[in-house]
Amino acid sequence: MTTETTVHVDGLTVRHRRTTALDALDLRIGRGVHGLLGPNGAGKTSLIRVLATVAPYRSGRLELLGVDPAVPAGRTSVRRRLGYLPQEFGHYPGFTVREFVAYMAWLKEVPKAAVPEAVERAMERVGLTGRADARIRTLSGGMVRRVGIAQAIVNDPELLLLDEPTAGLDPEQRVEFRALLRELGTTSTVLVSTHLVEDVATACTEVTLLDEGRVAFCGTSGELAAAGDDDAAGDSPTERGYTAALRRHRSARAASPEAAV
Amino acid sequence: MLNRRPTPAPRRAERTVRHVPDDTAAAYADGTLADSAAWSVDTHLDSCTACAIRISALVRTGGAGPLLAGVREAVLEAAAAGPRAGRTLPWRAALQSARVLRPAWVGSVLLTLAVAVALSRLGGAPEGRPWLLALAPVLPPVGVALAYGRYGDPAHELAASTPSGGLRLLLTRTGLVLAVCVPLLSAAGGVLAGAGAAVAWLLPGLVLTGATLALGSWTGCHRAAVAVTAAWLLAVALCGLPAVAVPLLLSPAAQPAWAAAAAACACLLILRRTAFDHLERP
Repeated sequence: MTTETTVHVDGLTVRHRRTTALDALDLRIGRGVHGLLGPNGAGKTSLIRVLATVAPYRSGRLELLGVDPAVPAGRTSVRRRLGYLPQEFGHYPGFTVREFVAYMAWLKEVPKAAVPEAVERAMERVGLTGRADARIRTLSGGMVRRVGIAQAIVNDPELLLLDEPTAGLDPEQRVEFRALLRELGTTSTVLVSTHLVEDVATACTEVTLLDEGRVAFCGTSGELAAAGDDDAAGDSPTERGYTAALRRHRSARAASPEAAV
Repeated sequence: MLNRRPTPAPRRAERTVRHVPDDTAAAYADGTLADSAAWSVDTHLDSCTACAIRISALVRTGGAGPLLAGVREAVLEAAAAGPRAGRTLPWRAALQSARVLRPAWVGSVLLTLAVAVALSRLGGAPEGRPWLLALAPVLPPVGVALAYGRYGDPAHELAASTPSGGLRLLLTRTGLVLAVCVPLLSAAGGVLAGAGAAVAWLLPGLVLTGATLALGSWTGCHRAAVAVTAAWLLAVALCGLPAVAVPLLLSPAAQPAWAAAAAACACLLILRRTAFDHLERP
């Protein structure tokens, strides 16, 4: 794929107190759906929070949608074109779905005249039109997750960052959600962190596998499946590819800590 | 519908089927053609663009023309006007965020009022008034800290990723807090101490709020509110209890100083306005 690169990450280092969450990470992402895989604590959430312009970073350089978010004007410009669903979706339980999505549209500075239509469209895309006037506290966990996705896409973002969006969705909803992801990926850059390997196999065109703040594998989901060998643990080709790529990366790092990036 | 038809069909239709004669076309456009004849014209129009164009033109110039023109105009007008019902939606959304004010904070405002009223009932107005005026100025900063920022706002992580999540949201929330505080506390002050003294707390309250916002640009509103509240309560305690401190701190003579401090806070806030959309501190 030769789409234009929309996310440039160079030597990104993020530290939380004394632990290093991301260690001189380099990453290039263009339009399409990109999966972000890795064991717990690999740095997936740290990376997404930095790209969402929410968390600071120790060193490195970012370019999102052609601008530098470290500059105030660039940050504002990126934030208008950004959609973000955090791992813990904090919301207002007393709001109705429509009110909450409209509130987020207001925060994202969607032009006033376009807000009502944008809100209806976002709710329709996640299948919540029927519950538009229900208070969020009355919704099931899976529906609340869909409210989170609706608020993320209400401004038709060019860069969409979703941290564990499929957690709490039932299998049927997950299938519908993957179809929505593929649709969104045709026009924007979508980065999805997940621990469900089958999400990656079916919805993502490219995959980045993180381990201890470094890139362990980067390629298409087909290449990840092909990376697996017969003695790698896992029930599907992608799972075997995941464990094999992780094992290879770890043994390479153990052999020469400096050379492995 | 046109797209679904296999491409060779129209040519074949045009070659083999006779086009609609002029008199039949006119009768069809008027709606006076017999049903069976009209059906065969329908079938032909499905596949013949030339006849469809001819009959469309006849309908527009015929009896139904003015009606069609009227409908067209009305549709264009409605489309230009846009979705009218939703025009106020963003504002409503901002106001709806009034619901984010914590019940605990609204409760503490009401509790302050209740305590002041109870004290004045028990010991006469002079007892209740100083307590009310000593506590009133810290209620807005506490409300701001509970309504904005990582510790107070459950959706702060989302807000932090938006262009308006910084100073614009903070000022909206501060406005909401003041909209609740100012009328309630001033009314209670008026009841307890007469109209003149009712607003004595107002400038100090604004100063403490402004100081919280300005200090919050470095430390976050949560810590700033704690510091400002502590400083105020310490000042009241150092001057002696409210009965002594309040006449001193809130006297008419002190008001110009409070006004100057409020202006200073406003200037500082303007200088620090971009600090709120910065990335959070590690």
